[in-house]
Amino acid sequence: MSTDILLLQIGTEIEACGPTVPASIDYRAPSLTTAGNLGTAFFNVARSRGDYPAMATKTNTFSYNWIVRAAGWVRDRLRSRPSYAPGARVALQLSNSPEYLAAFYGTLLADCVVVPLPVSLEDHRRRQILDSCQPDLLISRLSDLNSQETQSTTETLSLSKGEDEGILYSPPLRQAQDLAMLLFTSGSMGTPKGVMLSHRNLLANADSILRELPIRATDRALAVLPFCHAFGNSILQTHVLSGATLLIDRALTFPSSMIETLRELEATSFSAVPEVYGMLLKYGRLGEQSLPALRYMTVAGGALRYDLAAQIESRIRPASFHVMYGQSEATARLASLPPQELHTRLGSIGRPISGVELAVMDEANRELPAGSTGMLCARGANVMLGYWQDKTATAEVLGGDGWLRTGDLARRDDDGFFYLQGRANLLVKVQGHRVHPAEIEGLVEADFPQTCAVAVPMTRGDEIRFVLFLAPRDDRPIDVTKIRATCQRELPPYKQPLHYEVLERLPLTSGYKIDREALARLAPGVGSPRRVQTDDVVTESQ
Amino acid sequence: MTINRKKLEDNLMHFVRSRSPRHAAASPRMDLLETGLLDSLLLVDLIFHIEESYGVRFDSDQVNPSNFRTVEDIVAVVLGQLPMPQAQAD
Repeated sequence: MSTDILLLQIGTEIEACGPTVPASIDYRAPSLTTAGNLGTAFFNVARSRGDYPAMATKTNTFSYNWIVRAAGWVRDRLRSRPSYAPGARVALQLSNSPEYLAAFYGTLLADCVVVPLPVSLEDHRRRQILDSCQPDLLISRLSDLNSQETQSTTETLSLSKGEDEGILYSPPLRQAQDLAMLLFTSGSMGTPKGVMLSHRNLLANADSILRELPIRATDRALAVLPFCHAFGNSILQTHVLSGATLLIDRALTFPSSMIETLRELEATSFSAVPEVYGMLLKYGRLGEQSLPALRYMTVAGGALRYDLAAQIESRIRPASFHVMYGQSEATARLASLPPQELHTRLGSIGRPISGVELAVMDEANRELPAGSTGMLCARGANVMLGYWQDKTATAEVLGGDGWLRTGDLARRDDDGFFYLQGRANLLVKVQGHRVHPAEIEGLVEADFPQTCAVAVPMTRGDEIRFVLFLAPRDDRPIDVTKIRATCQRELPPYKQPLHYEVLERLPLTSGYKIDREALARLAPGVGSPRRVQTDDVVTESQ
Repeated sequence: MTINRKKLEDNLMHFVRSRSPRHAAASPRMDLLETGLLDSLLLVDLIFHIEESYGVRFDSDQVNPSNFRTVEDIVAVVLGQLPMPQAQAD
């Protein structure tokens, strides 16, 4: 079944939409404590913020008035569809852009549910997600679609007509506990799972973060994380709900251009996953150029080595560095390490943020004392409603008592600071994306049934990637070239194995299961990188 | 060790083209930035691949848009990194 597509278009006349309105120091966004609907909370901020920029690029600004007007058009278009019903899912396939903001809040204002998809999502995964949530519409823009995708019924909506029409507010039909957003992520078995977040979840987590981080209405946050990601979405919500400005730029491939953009756009904050910080330290010369506007940076979405965190902290002073921890199932963020504790609580993810409880528990869900390692569990108004149409998976992580089992092993010190101690399952974080080895193994074994495939994480520099071990199930030879071609065709780059190793047979544990730990010891790249002999390498010696 | 320019270019083209179906049509002079083919993950992987295969080390001044705009540009940087005698043109 194909999904109808709505393409958003911004005309060229928007180029004239600047200059930046002077910062009003005394602006204070409405409190979130009593808010019950994210769309309404956005609407109230946008109305009171008016011409202040909600989003800026190097050449344009898009005011809160612009965003709320564009969101109103999206809302009206959704409501005019014959298939419209409150609670209908609307998929977004949009990179960070003003169109994303219009589509996101327009969908909420129409009482629908946002399903953001990564722009680079592989085809079979997109099909799985669309089949699962059956969206009424997919909203995108030309530059974010593959050409073959435009064959579905496609309409366009221009977001640049009628400069001065206001939008009529209509009270929301969705309540605080109703579903607002479905965030698909890799579950513990590798299949996509839709994390169901309510209006209350999203508002509560934004409120907690605003109590933790020094976000101000005059802030300008450089948004490099995709908004479709839990952490990126969190950056989006906290800044929009504060009436601040999100900065976006296309040319952020190079660490040096990130630093240059921070300087040029006078960004006051920056948030990224650990791998980006590794690059900034190695190739970006972070700290050599002064960034007078910068007030703080945050890292989340994976573990950043303590020594790297300490280097960043010392290079960005007087700006502060906040190590944070969270997961999609908890909307976004759960814990934060106060910058002044970075050098005394080595490797800690910090303490729970306001409104969140964290505890280390044993298998029977009994809280363990300080110093013991067990399952890190979280409770609070930010904990998801459950997984979309998957009661079994929900019951595995979410108890009736409201505690969420994060899947991360942790311990707590005597002062209530938490330290991660690894994963309780096989999920791996690659560049902030959660990947289960079964996603790679299942793909290979489906196409090459005579092959047994095991994907094992390997460390390469500061990054984690996969090595794929292959063993024959019968006496037919294994064609690594074909298997690699399949992975390159079907998997996004961060999931593609970096190395392929053929073994005669796979090592087994005493319980006759595949011994993944033994394979991890065989994986190349652990410790120092070694020279790898593959058919790609064509160096010549003379 | 010297590296043959053509073989180096073929090697890097193979690396870029095999990235995804979207990259399959890349050519040595194609602007990888304008076309959006070079994202930060491919950049990291390319640097690692080159460092691992050819024993060169990039320093932070070299990792910039003008050195990585096209595969031809990257080839020139890699050849410039290698000890003399320089690789002969093909």
